[in-house]
Amino acid sequence: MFAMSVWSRFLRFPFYQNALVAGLAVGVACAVLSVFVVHKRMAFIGQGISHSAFGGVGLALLLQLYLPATRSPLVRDGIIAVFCVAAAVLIGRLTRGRRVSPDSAIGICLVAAMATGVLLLDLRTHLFGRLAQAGVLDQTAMGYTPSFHDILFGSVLAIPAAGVWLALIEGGLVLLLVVLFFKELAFFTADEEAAAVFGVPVDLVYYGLLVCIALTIVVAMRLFGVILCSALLILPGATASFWADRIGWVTFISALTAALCVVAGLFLSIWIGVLSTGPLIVLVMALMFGASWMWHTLRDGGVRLPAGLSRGGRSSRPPIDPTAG
Amino acid sequence: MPENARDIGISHDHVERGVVCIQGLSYTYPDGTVALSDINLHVSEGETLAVVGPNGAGKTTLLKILLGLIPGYGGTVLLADRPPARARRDGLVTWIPQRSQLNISFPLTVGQLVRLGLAGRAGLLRRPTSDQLDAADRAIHMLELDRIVDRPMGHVSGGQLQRALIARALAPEPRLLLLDEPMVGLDPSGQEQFHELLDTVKQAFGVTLVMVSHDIRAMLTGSQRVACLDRSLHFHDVPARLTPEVLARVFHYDLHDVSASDESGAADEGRG
Repeated sequence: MFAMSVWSRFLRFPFYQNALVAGLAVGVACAVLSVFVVHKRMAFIGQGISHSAFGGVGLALLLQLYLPATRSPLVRDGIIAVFCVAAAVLIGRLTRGRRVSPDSAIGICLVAAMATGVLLLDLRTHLFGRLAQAGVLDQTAMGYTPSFHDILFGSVLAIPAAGVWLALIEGGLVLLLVVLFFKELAFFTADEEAAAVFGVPVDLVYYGLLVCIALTIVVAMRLFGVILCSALLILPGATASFWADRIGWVTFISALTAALCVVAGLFLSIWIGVLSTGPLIVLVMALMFGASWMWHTLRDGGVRLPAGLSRGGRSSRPPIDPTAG
Repeated sequence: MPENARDIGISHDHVERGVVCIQGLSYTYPDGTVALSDINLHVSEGETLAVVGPNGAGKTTLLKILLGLIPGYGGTVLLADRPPARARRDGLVTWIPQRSQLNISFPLTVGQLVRLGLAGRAGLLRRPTSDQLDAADRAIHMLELDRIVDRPMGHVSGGQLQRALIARALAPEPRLLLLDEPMVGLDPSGQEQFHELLDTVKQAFGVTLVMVSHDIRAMLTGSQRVACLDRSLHFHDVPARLTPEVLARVFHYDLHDVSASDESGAADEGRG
């Protein structure tokens, strides 16, 4: 029986269980944020922050050679988190400036951090060889070292038991913040200019959202990698836009979609065995989006992108006759 | 008026000092251009003031100062006895934009959109109180949005959406409502209906209105007072006292041109 063998393999390997819990926690947190990311047109910002994490990974892995304290997975995540939050704040600051267009600003940060990461990893490989030759490096103490592939596309093996707790705490924190500041987030996303005038501290909301994105990326990148984790900040929210018209329902459906996709993708990867878990989950999400789009296209008899993805959404509409209609 | 809860809490002190009290206001742009110089303006509770002036007269700057979005001006500006930024944060001043930046694809119903207006008034980490929700409901009712409160805001007509934005501005029960070029794009009968709507709203919510426009013709009918602005204030009185000489000075018109445009305007109205 397929189901039996998949289930017993899931039970036999703790890393699958870690991946399930961490994936659910971080997937739901990202899905809730994705509603605001999609509608505020911040998808590329998410991309910029997640790619910047690559620089943080390079830095963390280089430090591991010399500072034993940085070899624990939590300290490693801490270093990456500092890097990501700094990148998020920098990107946020640059995208609000007038001299450089937002997409250019993000593009610049993204490539700069990626280049830094690659160079730091090159340096690490070189120094690692020298230290190993000199016999001063206790290689067993280095613990798990992710490969390039793992950093870029994630690995189901990359989540230590401590990482599960980190994901749960982080996911819970993001959910709590979103619930507490829901009306501010909604106002900010729907109409930032008016939100500011109506007394919503929009800068606080904007940078708070960016920091939340950065923190979820730090946790998500273990399973999904720096390239793919931004998918979690886009796909669930975009998919949910097809299925509801109220922000509460959209957020709920987004979270549900992400949870279903994490479970489906993980068990698919256990069943098939040779395929990476993170990319499989991302592909399942993309298929969900595609299926939602197809369904609505066929039902409505025409091509219509979901609200957040359509071009005409942000209206600079001509003045309207308020007495009409 | 029992339903007019706003009046109950207003002391005589407020009434005397006015909702808007501007003394010696001047503002110079960072590049040295003078935007406003020595403006003195007083708006009493419940009044409707139209600020008119040509493009570049400083109307938008004045509006932004009243909204507390521009610091660093000279002179005194008090809105209900508070500095503008404070008044705005307290929900005492709201505004209806000329061109809304609202992202209509965001999944909100019309009712939710109106209630967003309470966000700042309720404050961080707080839900709106039932009184505040009642005020939002009153605004919804007043603007005849009852039947579409549960419709997604992306699925209503432009006029309904505009009324929802007015309701959003009224929901926090502001003392002062600022309107930026409210009549742009309206034909004369639309302007008249809009003035009637504003009158009803003003009665029900006891709100003071300040409208800013370059279109003096559209402003004259419904306003109790008119202020002509061209960096400094050239006139501030009831519309009846407005003379062609003042208009000519403010709008840099030749008197001959003013009468010419009067005729063409009359012709337009006739056609409409």
